[in-house]
Amino acid sequence: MKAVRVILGLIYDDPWLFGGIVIAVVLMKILSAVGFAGPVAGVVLAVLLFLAILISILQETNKAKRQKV
Amino acid sequence: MTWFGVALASFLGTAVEFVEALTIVLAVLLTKGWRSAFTGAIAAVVTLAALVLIFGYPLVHYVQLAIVQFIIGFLMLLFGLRWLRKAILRYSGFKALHNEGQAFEKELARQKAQGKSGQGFDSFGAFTSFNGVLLEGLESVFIVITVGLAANSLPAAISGSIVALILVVLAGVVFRKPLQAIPENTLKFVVGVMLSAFGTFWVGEGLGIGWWNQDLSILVIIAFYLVASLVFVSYLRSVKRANSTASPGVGM
Repeated sequence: MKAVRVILGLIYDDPWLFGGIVIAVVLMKILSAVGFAGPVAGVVLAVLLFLAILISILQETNKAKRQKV
Repeated sequence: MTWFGVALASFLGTAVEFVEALTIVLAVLLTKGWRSAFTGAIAAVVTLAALVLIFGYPLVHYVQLAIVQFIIGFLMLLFGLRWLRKAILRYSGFKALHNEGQAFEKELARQKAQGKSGQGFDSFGAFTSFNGVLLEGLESVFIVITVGLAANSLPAAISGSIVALILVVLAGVVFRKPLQAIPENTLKFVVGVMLSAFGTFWVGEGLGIGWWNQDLSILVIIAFYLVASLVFVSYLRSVKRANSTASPGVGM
């Protein structure tokens, strides 16, 4: 139960990051289903996941900037 | 294949898995304490032993490894990427760096007030350690069973994996001390990178992605996350500098 609470906490704390991870994984699932599953697909997966962090951080820094203004 | 050949194949295959499991257990041990790391690892070993005892050799057919890899990889990604995100924010100055000395004193005072001693238990750490050891252990069991049955010499395959396990555990004991000397903030950054890399690899495996040189690609993913994070940290630092120049005296 505690594990479930921890995971729910992750979703609540970082919805952008969680959304980014889900989108990246679903996209890769679709791509692998149509045959795009070579080593390049692995690179795309890693890049998409890092993009999720990037968007989540930029979202937070922009929010902080808006609050400051 | 000779007895030695089977043992060697099993040794090499399982050693890679054990090293990966050790990496995760060490990461938890150094950041969350030995109690969480060992509780998770021991729980995973007990679960694995129960699975092997219940199912025996047909375990290979009952357990869909790709599904286990996907679920554990996804959980590892949730934790790892979040950790990495926090580390990037800390290193770029958008979040205060964790003051290790102060935090240690605070924790010590809290434990003294509660009449406790030693390191506390962290469910996140135990969960991460459990996941890592369970998945890598499961992969090792699969290697031993498939190599052993294919060569009709299961004792040789088991012997090879036991030697690998002993050597990897010894390596863990040797490397624990020097790793403890690394500053906590740096360690958390590296652990975030590693958990994210393992998560990416396992999710990819679960999705059926054929990685370049199999497990060796984990090192490439680690390098990618490390370099990308450092580049992003330097970009964020320049943004912060520009912001503070534009509005002197106001921090974010």
